[in-house]
Amino acid sequence: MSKVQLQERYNKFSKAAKFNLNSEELFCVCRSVDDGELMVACDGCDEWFHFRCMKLDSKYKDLVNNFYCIFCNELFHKGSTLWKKKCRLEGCYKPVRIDNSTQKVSKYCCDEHGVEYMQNELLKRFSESTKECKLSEPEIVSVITQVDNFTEFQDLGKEMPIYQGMDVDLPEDKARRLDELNTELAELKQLEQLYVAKEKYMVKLKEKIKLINEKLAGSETGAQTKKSKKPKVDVCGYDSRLIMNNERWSEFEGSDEYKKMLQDVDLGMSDDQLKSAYEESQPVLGLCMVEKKKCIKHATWFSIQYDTVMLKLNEILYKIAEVEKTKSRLDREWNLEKIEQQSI
Amino acid sequence: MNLSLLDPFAVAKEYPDTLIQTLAYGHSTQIRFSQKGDYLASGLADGIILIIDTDTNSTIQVLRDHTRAITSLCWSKCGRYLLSSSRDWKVNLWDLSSCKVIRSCNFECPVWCSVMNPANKFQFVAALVDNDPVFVDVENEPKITQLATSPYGVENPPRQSTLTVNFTPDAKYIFTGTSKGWLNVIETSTAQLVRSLNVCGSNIKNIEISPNSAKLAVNSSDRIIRQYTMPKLEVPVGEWEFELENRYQDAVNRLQWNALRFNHNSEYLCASTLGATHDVYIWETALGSLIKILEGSNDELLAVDWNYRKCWIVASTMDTGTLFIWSVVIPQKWSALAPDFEEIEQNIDYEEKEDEFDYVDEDDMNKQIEEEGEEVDILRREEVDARGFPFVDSFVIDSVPVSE
Amino acid sequence: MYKLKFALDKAHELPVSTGKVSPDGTLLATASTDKTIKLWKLQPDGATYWKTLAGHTKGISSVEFSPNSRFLASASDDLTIRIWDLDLAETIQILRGHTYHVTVLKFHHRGSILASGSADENIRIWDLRRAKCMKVLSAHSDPISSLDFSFDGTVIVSGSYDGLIRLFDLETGQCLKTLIYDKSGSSYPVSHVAFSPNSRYISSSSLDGFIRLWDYMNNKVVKTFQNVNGSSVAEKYCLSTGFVTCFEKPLICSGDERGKVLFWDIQSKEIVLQLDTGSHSPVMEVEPISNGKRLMTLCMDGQIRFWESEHE
Repeated sequence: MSKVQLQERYNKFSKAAKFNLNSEELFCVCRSVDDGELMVACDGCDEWFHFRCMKLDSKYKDLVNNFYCIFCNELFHKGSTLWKKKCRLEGCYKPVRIDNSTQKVSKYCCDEHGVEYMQNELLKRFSESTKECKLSEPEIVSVITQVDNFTEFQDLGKEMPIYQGMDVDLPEDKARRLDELNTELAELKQLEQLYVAKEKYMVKLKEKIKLINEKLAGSETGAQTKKSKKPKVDVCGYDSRLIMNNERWSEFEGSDEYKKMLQDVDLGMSDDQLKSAYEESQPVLGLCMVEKKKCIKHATWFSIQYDTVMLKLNEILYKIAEVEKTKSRLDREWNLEKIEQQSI
Repeated sequence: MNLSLLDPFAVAKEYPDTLIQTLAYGHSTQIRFSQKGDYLASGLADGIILIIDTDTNSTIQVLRDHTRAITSLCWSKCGRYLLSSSRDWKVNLWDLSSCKVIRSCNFECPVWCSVMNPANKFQFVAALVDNDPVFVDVENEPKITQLATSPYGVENPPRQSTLTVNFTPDAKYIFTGTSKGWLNVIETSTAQLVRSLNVCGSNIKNIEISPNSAKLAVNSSDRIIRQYTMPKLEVPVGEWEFELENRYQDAVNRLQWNALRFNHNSEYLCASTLGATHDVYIWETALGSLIKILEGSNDELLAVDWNYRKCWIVASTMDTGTLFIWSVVIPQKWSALAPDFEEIEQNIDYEEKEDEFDYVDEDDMNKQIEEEGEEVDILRREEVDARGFPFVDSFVIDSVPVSE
Repeated sequence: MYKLKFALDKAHELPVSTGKVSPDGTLLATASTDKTIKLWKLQPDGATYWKTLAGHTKGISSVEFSPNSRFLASASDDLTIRIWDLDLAETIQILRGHTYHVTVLKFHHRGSILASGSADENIRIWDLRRAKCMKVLSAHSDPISSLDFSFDGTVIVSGSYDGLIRLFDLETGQCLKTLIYDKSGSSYPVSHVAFSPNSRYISSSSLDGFIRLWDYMNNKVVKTFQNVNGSSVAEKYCLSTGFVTCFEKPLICSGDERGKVLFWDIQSKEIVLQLDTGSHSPVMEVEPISNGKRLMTLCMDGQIRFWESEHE
């Protein structure tokens, strides 16, 4: 109905007589007397309307929460009709029960209807889809009677059952796959160790460079005590052993050279030796002795190498996690397979 | 196959003109299309390399090994291998069938750029910071050969370093550019410097050789791109002639050129700009005239590459590393939707044809079936597509559907 | 020319709707109206059950292996397409967008793109790296029955019940061409389309019972293939066709509605071989494996047969 039509109808309705010739009150859009037919009052204008005239099915009478007539709703937008939630049982048009104290909303009007609904539902599933429901009736009964209470029943299937029968040998293909995964894991763990050691080495290396810088600065101030300003020494300190491949690095880890690098104080040379090496830019302990600012090619070498080590380490840890995940998946699959075998 | 069914005038366009898409997949510093143009490798500032499928424009592989900005990328002809160099001192050779590094070389200094030998994926040449360039063979244990930087036949040349390197398409020679404007030619087989040419007095930033080996462009920091005819590589090096054809510069804006690319037949050259404008310039190389400025970016442009088959130009921006893609837009042919429709230029008077509304009966179909004597070959493929590029089967990089 | 290698009957309890052999030739996937897909490992002389993929809530009408044989796409009447990881036997993507039964699927040869056709009259192009619909091609006015990619992956051909064969540009999604076989002013539903190995021709089956080979560049039918004595091949069901190129002369093959597989010489249009599947129901799928050295047939009654060519 268009807005104009509706307005016209409302005008007609509002101007119509309120009483008939017998002084009986008239109701609804049909302007007839109250003959006991089902009516509902509008919450917008307090007028009474027939269910029939409002095109409402009388079986919904218990479900009306708020009612707004067509004029209040569509013309004046005072509100629209609200319905209560219907009982889930087919054919029941009573509103659902609401617990007064807890305000919890049920799905049914009463307990009886709840039980009836569930019964119907179960019957329906059994009758129409025996193919889908692989469990037979006695099986379902045995499952239900196995548990003590409702929570236990709800918890069924939450956890993977664990096979508890006789030991069964892993089939060949699965055993091979598991072997492969274990070998891979061992290799990865070894690599992880290598990079962890490399990271530790780099931390030590930093200390070593600091020590060299201090010694150089110290020796220089010793020679030039007159000068008020300490000449600051900051060597590049790049260690080319950091870029060795894993094989050679492992070799290096076992060498005396490596142990020397990890020692705390001793540089293994006199201060004079150190000083002359610095002046001639000769490497000390395999470290680049060029002044940091002048060493363009090794600029920011520490952070580059450190990031590389950390990237590798993260990558290895990720791979380890992946392999573990695959392993546990294989485990689960095999467990299930055994249980299925057992139940047959 | 699609090209032969599209509007031939649109297909015949040789350079892109419209911005069709932007991709913000990390801060891209280098981009390079695979030979066939089916994949785009994008190197990021944090060292990650993305392989982007140009059909879907989504990333299909993420390559992680570098930890600093990628400085160059180079695809093998077959599309299976990728060479990458980075400021983290490493040059990596990736096998894209496993997406792993199969060879890695650490030069203990940042790498300006590295280029794969077109004839051998295990060989490359690299320009290093503060060092002479190197020719490297990584087939077995890395074999590193130092290449000369000082120009050939010049007495007491000034100290300089090599900033850029490139291979000729036939892989016989290596062209390098120095910080004092010298173009050096090195013979690949002997690794000996055989020829030098003074191009200008400032840094040579890029040396670009057209894919058909016809033209050479040298970009230097004096804001000029110089275009030469490529010497005939068959004649002895001593007789080579570099003829300066064109000089490209923007005298008004004083633009620096960042990166440059020829199209496949060297008829066009494009370059990204650094400075006041944020565009890609395209010149026609025969006369050296500017024919198109690709606009749309709001940021200075860094790397640029040309996808010949798709007729795309892609450039990455400096501040955000976003990729801008320009292409040709082909209009929908409405007659394609109804087989008996014809698109006409102007109105014409309708004339009913003799048999236009005749009833076609069963016999006619039989007659038609009888006439089907034509030779049919369902096996032999067309050799080239409508743009003239050969159909080649290239390497397919594995693409795994993401899990939700 | 073909001899029976092995048979697989009763793959599912309910009717089998479709079956596909993986590109690497090691797996067979069968799908059924029972909402599941079963995977079978193929050996030279038999197929052994491997695993079941369950998840769709309605019947399945099409399955497609990814080019690397690691993934499977399935199209269902539940309006979704599922992508399965075969190793894990798990759904890794559910593609939603079609508004009616999804009828047909096709993988792009690079594996990153999937095309799907539906009874909602649309074709959708999916980017599997992002699990997103890239394009919707809506130009048909009836359900889509069949799809195929050209060898270079740039063109998609579609057949629909509206009687049209359309070619689309994958990059732009534009309709490039429309082919229609207009017989006495009306056209019959197109039930199957396929590009020839070199993508210069398109084979089309339509429910007037004939299979046609189109020279699509010139908008004309160059060959028409008929059943024995000019009768029809299939008028009720969508039966697939395939190209067999391992013999001296290239052949085109299709099942008919009475359990026979017909092989035509493409040049002469003559039936050079009839293969009796032993079933009396329509042969839904004929899939030549390695150019036709082997052959898989699937009949409507669920009978699956593997055949091997006896000589070159």
